[in-house]
Amino acid sequence: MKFKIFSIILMFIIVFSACEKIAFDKKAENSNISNFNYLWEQVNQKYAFLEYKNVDWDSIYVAYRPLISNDISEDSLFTVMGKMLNELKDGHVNLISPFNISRYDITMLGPVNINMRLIKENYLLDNYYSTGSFVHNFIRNGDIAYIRYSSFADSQITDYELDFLIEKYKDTKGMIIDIRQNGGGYVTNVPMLLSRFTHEDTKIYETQIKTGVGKDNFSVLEDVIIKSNDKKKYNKNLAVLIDRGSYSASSFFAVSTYAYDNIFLVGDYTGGGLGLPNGGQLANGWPYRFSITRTIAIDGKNYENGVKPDYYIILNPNLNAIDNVIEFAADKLLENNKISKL
Amino acid sequence: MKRYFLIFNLLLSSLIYAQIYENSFPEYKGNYFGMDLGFSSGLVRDLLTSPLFYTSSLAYVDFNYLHISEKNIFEGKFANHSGINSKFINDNFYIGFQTSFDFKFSWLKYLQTSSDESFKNYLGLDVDNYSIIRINPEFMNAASSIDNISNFAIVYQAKYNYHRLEKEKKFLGLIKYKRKEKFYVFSGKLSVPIISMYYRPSFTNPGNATLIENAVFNAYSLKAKAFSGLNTELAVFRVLPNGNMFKYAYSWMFATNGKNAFNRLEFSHHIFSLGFVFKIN
Repeated sequence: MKFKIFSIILMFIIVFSACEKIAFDKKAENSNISNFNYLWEQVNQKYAFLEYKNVDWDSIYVAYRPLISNDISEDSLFTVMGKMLNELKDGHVNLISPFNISRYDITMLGPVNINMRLIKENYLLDNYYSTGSFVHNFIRNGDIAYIRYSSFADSQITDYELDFLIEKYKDTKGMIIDIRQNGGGYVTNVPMLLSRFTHEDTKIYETQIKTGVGKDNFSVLEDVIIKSNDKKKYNKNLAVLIDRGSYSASSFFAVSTYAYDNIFLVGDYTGGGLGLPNGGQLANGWPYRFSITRTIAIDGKNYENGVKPDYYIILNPNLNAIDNVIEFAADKLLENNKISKL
Repeated sequence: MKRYFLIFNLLLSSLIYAQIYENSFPEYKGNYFGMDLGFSSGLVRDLLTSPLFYTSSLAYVDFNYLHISEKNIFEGKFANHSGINSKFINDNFYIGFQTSFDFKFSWLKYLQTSSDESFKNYLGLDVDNYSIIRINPEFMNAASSIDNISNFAIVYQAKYNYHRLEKEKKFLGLIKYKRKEKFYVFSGKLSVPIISMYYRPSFTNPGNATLIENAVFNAYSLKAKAFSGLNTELAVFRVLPNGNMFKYAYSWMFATNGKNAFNRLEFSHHIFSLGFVFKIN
């Protein structure tokens, strides 16, 4: 009798173990139309800048939905959905298929504002140093440090690298960090770098994340603060060179400089990209991403469409062997170290 | 086929001829330390990032302490599942990584009125905390995701002591051999979470892209869910004369934070494990 009872209990447990299919919700539908609707809805609910960019997402649906049917090819589906996403005009928005990646090329919004060949031949010269992701040298007879930082994504900046740079250029009258065409990368490199230009805790911007379906459903604004530390500091002024190709982490770096009196921006507007992207996946397996946070600068403004330079200077390609953006920054740094921000 | 039939008959006959001598079962109480190793497979879906069910293939290990007395069983367990979540769809293979940590404490009370020496019933409580870290490179900046689930559960366990006697037998009626005496405990366990607390991203998953932790956890919410899953365990313990045990177990854990939850998380693991339980005193 006891054994029978025990057997019944075991059967009961075994039957329960097999009921996950009932407990789980049904599988997602995987058709062209359902995938299009899913992507549209995800953006509609979660994208952080529909209102800021004044995008009528409903009308986008009306325009693109008729182009989708369950009979069209994968390539056609991808093309339509990629075009729909590009209506957001956001470099952080991508759709990724095994055969293509949709993207919005933010660098095309402005003129090319850097000529690397010119910089190598006339500023970095043959004897430039390469320290981690930084290439650098003295310019203006040793009065100015010029540091080219072409990507936040190459590696995490180390304290050793920054100590080396600061020690090498401690006697200069000013420093230029050139992040033109720097498409971003590790956002953690931003405070790492900026912490070497301040002796006190500095609030660099505020951030918030989308928390609900409503267009205004965001979390409370959270201060982002760079903590002071006792590491080596550069105590002179800093010019940061930017252009439309300065995107994402570069824009974070640029917008953070608004909090510093000893740092100014020279060049074109950045490309923006101040919303951090959230990844996802469609039922056909294609991953996508778009921005789900927004950043508010210390002046209370949202610079998602591009961080404004303190001095708007566009590269003049007609000048022989001269980068007028670097020259302007160097002149400003040498003007008795006085900065008058716009 | 004939060979399988004979083996089946042999096994069946060993069960049929087995007799139970309740008084001769080795003492099954005291303090034990156990370790289980195994393999876990299952399904996982996090609707915040994907509508697809990924198949989990995970290695399983747990360390546990067991105290068995006349009236109670207390168990403390730490378990880890680590491995991959994969999905094959439209000729493409997508893969992610997962590790999870489970801290569980169980207290079970012996139900004397419905038990005897060979068949024992227990009823008690489970408290456990389950953390899952998932990394799916396909989701780029949202590649990492951390979820924490705390459960308060009611547990029922049934144990059946089975003594297989030493016996002279003949293989196929020809070859004499002596079947050794063995002691087994069959165990079935059912745990029903009454209240579960899900701490996970509520609407968006900021993943690993953000600069400050506060921004990530602003997107998290703590929500309670009643009857959010089920845990079962079927185990066979072979009790050695010195009190140590081998454990063969199958367990199943299933959890969901609700069909209507916007941030729906669903997972299920089937765990097959082999364990060693050492009697401490």
